[in-house]
Amino acid sequence: MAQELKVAARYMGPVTVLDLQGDVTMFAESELTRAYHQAIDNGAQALVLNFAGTDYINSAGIAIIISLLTEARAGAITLVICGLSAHYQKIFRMVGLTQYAEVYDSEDLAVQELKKRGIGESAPV
Amino acid sequence: MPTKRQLVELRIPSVFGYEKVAMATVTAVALRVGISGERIEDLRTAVAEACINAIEYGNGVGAEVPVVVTISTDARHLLIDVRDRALGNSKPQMGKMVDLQNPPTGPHGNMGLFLIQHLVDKVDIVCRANGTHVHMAMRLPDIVLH
Repeated sequence: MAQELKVAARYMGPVTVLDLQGDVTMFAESELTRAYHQAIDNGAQALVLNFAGTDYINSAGIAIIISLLTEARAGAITLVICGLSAHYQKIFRMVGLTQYAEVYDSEDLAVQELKKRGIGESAPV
Repeated sequence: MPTKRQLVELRIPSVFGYEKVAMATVTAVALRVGISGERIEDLRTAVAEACINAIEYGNGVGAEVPVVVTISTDARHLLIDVRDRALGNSKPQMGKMVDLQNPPTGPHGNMGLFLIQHLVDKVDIVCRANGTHVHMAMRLPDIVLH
């Protein structure tokens, strides 16, 4: 019934895109934090959380995203969000998450914006 | 006094994930009474959060203890009532917007009730010794109002 979250990482130089597939609930914590730390350990300066494969996010899942955002800010890592449905974009605005992480409609827009800031200019590895 | 008509009563076990059964049921009923689009999404999220609170705080994640979801209508609203048995060790608290300078301390950031309050047209939470009831109301579209 619950769709277990799987996170796949795509490394694009200093930018890592984390593709989320499944439900973002309390059960997603270990998978999300594992993927986050692996990306940081591999040298990511910026992370794109791609929610295009997710159609259920609850308050426990939002709390996990807040925890990642807190950690990213402490480590001077840029974390942006893309692929949310219009409904979850609204939810993220409602709870105030968009004050701390920019939300883009698509991965392309997110990566373009990171490039404008000088992140992600290296060749893909 | 508006006439209340009960349409569906659903019992789900207090196991995380079963809130999706309530979401699906509420979606089907809401579509039948003319609610659509983003309003359905709002209702689904509010019902999910009410069920999660009932599963965790209300029933202490006791699989054998049901969360009861009742779906009704009155003349102007779709009414959803989620009730638990108040067996948990704590009550959900009203959360607030995210402030990373003061990150939330609750396991869910206490955002469930915050979301419910912002997503449905009316919410009323009644805590009794034998259970907590979360009453939610979503206004019916004008086209189906008489």
